[in-house]
Amino acid sequence: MSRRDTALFALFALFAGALVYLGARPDSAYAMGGSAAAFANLPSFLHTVAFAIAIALCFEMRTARWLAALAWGSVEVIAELLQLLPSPPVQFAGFRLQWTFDRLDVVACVCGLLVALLVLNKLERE
Amino acid sequence: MKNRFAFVFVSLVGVVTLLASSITEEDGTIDPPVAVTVNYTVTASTGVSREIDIRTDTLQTLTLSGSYSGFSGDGLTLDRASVTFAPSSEFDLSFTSKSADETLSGTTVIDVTDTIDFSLDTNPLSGQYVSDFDGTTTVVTIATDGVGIAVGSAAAVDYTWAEFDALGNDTSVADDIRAAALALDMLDALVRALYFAELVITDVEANRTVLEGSNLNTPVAIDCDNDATQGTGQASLSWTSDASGDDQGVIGRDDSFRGRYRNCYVSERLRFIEGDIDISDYIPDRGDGLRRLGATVDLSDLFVAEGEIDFNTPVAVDSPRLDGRFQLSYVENEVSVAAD
Repeated sequence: MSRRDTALFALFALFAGALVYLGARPDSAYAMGGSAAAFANLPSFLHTVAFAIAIALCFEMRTARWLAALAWGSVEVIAELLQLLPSPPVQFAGFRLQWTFDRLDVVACVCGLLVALLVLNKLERE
Repeated sequence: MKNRFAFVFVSLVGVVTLLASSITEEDGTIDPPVAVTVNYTVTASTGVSREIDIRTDTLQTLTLSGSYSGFSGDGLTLDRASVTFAPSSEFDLSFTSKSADETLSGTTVIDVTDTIDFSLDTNPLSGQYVSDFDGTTTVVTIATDGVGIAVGSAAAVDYTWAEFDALGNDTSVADDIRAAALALDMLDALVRALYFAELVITDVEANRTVLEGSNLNTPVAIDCDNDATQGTGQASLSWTSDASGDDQGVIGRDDSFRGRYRNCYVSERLRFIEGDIDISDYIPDRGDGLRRLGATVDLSDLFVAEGEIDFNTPVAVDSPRLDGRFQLSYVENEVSVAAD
């Protein structure tokens, strides 16, 4: 897998995540339950994949890439863990600023990081 | 590092998108703005009167209704670019002469027959109403450039807005035309008072903590917008009664308040006000879901003027002052979305 292909993979993951988030998540993913609810954690997974790879590609050295990917994966997990804190009673642009911790999002972030590391590993080998 | 700029850019995008997707994330309870229709009614059964030196005009059995589109969570208010009064709107307007020079006396019955697109400080844009005074029907048709008035079966006569505004107090004009013209003028005065009543409600909500920390009937000073050339302005707000119930002890449903004003300039309305506005039967528009705002408004010698009001002198008898009671009700209704 070339560097260009790896970057495109990250871009595709980001695009797919955005599509899921904008298209399925707000209205139907939760309301439908069951299989549709599985899409609920997909944006977290794809976001981690996309940005772990994209940030890693900013570095040349293999170790730096892996550390960058790990660092980003940690940011994603920490951001989810921070959602254990209570939401403020604030509205912004018609949306209530409110978050809810979801342990499956943590799992999705970790899975995303693993996929990113696999892709980076494939890039290193080739 | 191969590309520091790319690293910073990608990291920033990552953080921003991460935050954007997280802080509005409710995992099943995402709360986008809900489109609503706000239905409003203004009613006055006991009457709102306006007294001038030669006459007292009294609105009675008033029902003004209409609706506007918005989003749940927006403020419930008629302070909008324009307010419409639907054809279900109607009221009686009675005239009591106080002078031998004033010939206008009696009651006209007003029915809105085509939605009036009403606004303050600009002329209404459209609409039609019928005035039934002393057995004569007068049809008033509003257009952007003026008003057409048709008395009985006669053809409509067009008036510019300036001419129309002068008709009501011109004793040389036929009484049925004067009565019809005064109806719109009185409506303007009522809506203006309504906006000041909304101001009291806004001030109550903005000063809840202070009011709740004060004893009942203890005035809390409210800022007026008077500048150095506009004399002293004073305003106060009091929490006058605390209804029993779940929210006793805090400002809530069915509580009462008094706004008291003296030469108080309200910049958003470009007017000075003097007098008292009492709010009772309060229904605050708080909380989630579809909301409702309600209040009974009592006006006591409320005088609204474009120029400064002499702070130390009682408002002159020929100044148009409003007294009386009306009720406000604004109710949000969710807009139903047709299924695909």
